[in-house]
Amino acid sequence: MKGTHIGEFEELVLLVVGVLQSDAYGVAIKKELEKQTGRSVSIGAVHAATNRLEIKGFLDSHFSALTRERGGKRKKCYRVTLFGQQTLKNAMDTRSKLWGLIPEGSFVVKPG
Amino acid sequence: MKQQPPKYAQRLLRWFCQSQFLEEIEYDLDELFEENLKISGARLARNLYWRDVFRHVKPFFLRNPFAYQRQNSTAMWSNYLKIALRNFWRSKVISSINVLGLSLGLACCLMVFFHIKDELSYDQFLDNGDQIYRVLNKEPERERPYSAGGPIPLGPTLKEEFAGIRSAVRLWRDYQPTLTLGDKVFQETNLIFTDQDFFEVISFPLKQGNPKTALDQPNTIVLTQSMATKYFGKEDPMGKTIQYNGGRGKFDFLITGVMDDLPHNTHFKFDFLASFLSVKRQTDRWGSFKPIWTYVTLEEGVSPDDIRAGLPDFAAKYVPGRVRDHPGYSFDLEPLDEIYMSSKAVRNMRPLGDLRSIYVFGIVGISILLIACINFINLSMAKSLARAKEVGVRKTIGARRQQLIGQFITESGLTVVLSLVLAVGLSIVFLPVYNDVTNKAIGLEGLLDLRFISIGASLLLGVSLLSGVYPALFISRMKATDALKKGIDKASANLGMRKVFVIFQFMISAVLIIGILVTKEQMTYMYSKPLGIDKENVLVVPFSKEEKVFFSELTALPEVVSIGVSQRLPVNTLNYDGRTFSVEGSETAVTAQSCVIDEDFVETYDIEIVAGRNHFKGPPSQWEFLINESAAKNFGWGTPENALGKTIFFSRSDSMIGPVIGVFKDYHLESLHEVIPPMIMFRNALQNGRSFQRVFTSVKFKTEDLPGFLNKVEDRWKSHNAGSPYFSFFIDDSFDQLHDADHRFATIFNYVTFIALFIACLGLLGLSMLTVDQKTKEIGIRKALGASVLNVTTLLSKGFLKLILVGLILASPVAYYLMDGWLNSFSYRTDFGIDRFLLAFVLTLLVSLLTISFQTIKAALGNPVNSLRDE
Repeated sequence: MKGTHIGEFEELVLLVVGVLQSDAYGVAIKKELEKQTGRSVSIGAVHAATNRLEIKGFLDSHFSALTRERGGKRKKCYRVTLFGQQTLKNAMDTRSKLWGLIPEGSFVVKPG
Repeated sequence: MKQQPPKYAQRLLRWFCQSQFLEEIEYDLDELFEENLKISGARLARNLYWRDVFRHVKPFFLRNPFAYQRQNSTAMWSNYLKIALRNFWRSKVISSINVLGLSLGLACCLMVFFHIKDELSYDQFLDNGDQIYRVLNKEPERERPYSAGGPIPLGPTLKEEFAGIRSAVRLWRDYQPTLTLGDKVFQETNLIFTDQDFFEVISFPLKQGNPKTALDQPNTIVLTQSMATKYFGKEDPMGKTIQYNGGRGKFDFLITGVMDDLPHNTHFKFDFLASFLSVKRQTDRWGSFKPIWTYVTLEEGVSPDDIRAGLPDFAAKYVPGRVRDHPGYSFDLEPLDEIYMSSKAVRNMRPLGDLRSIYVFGIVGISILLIACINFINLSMAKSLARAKEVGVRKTIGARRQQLIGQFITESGLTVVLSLVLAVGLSIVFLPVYNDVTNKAIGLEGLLDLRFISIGASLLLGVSLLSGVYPALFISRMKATDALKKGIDKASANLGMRKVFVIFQFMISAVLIIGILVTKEQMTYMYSKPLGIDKENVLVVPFSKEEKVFFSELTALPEVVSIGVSQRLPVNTLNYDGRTFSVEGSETAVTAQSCVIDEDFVETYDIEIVAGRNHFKGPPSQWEFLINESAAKNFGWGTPENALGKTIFFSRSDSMIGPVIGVFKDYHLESLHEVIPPMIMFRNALQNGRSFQRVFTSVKFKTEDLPGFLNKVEDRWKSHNAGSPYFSFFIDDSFDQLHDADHRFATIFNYVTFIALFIACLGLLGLSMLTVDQKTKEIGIRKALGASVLNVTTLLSKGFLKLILVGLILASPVAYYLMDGWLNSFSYRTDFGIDRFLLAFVLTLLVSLLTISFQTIKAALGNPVNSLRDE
């Protein structure tokens, strides 16, 4: 079904948002991604992904309370929706199932 | 200070990014920037910020560029037009000042355009204008080294000597011949003898006749249409004969062709073209430089420089005497199509144009347009202040800045379109005046010219943008709240610019006024400068048969003071005969204007003798010479006294030799632009009278009853010369004609300056109106508190007068520089002192004070009750 499909990067972003809990906003997501994956991630890519995921319904967001810092700009914090969680689980399940189907001994590397 | 993210990167982001994403992105970018600032320093942080902004350029974030076009813009535009029209009607006076000023400025510009276009069009219609060259004499030692006109054999000899010259035609103007057809007799001034290939070289078309053969026989003549009509009426002149009596003898011409009248935009001037073969005495006379203009065409691929290189040797071969007497003497070539605008040569077929005057008029035209534009800008600015509230409301409702600018430009565009229409109308009115002053015949068809239309369109666009954009930018920049709350106060912050504009306007006006005053002074100087001869009350009549009887009859008239006979007249640039005079026992030779006179000539013109005597003493066969100071100087004799008794040869002829018996004061033969050349007068001592027959009789008179006197002279003359045409003129008229071009320049300049000042004053009137309008309450209060009319008037005028004064002071150096340059084009010029400047200042101040006073006095006289009531 169109719209429920997520790409690899999007999946990572979703997972990171889940990891970060309540403080999942752009810069934090970027940093966590970089920390966990070891690759450099551009903030633009993160923004594109989060906003796209939000439109698709995998994420929802709220703005933090107004502060005097940064000229009154607010940060946008994300949360994984139920739909998002479901999709993540589906993706993981699909993978586990596929891993399970790989004949014993054909992979040198073992799952888990 | 805390480092901020790069401003332009932020702007860029805000520009391309959809607003719903903006806050998140900016927050994150700021945070990253602050971090980077700590870690890597400002420079890198800023670069990284830029990089991150660019990384957001993704289709996902981009604004839809078509989103705004869905607004109903036609409705807005029609609204602008409606508002513009309403505003236009509401402030009728200001609007008409704007339209009047602009249309005058534009009309001036159009006229200048016509003028320049016409001046540049001279001879451009002739084929191969860039391959035809006029031959000039070059005498490097002279102040004006180039002159046109040369010896008779010059043209054919050039063609023989230079393989690169394909053809050569000569144009020899005959001096005042008469033509007779039956009972019609006329004195003609523009008869020219020319070679048979004239029409092949110079592409004037023939209406009737064959251009190849029309002039290939002796005694054939081609005439222009108006001459054909003058002599033959409606009859066909082809094949008819006409009697000629002039410098080249007395014989009949067969008419072999008719051509259209020459267009006004050519440097050629003739009514008749006669075949050169009709000239009987075509001896190889290299010694006499006459009004014979030689034009050559070059073979394909030959450059004029190839010919020029050979000209010094050519000159040395054929005119060795000249080369010896005038170091560096040679011939030179100039392209036909450049003669009118850029020839430096003297002695032309008719007065030529002047590139400098083109520049002057160009600059003046643009200045006037500038004054008009400044008016427009100033008034629109001042007027838009009153509309600050409107702008505020528009902004509040959601007008974008571009829309406001669009609105103001629509309004100025409307004014400019109106002005342009009016300007075209005005130039239709001005054109006949212009044609009258300049003796040109420019038609209105110029208005349909493509170049003209494109220039008109760009003027329109340029002026409306120029005058509309500044007020539009200025007023649309106001914040909505400021515009609503503070209104006029806020806007008056830009008074500085307005002041500069007013100063500039009056600077230009003052420069122009000083210009008029100086030109006027120079003209007066030219007309009143002692010329060295008395040109008043001299009547010139043709030489008469039975001269002795005629003279005694004239002398018997009580009005006649004296009668002088001469070969040439003291005033006539084209009637020259440059001859070589040499000194006995010396190599020195001088080219001088020669003139044969009789005993009474000097007395008739009251020519001042500075040394020696003025009358011939010896027997009639004795040669005696009178020379002018300039000739004495050129011979190297120093003082006039030194010259007396020296023996000189005429034309290097051993038989024509005699002593210098007197030196007369230099008098002006030509316009004051020219230097006085050496001149030598002598009595005709040739006993057979073979030469020098064409003579004039100058009659000095003194009378109260001029018409009666003229009639008497005419009767006497006619009784001896039945059937011959009589013509007479006053010598001072001819002198005035010499300065026609300067006179025209001065006249046009007067008109133009008047218009410039008028436009500047219009602007001042408008500005003072608006100022008075704004200060109505202030004036009311002041009056209520006891200020006098004078107090209030002074208060209102002071500001303007200061600006005008500054403008005047700035104008002085500019005017000095320009006018000094103009005066330097005269060999004999007047000087101008501080008094001209002061006069110009006073004039400008008076005129502007008068302009302002209309408004200020009205305001000052007003009853304070009225001005204070409407609160």
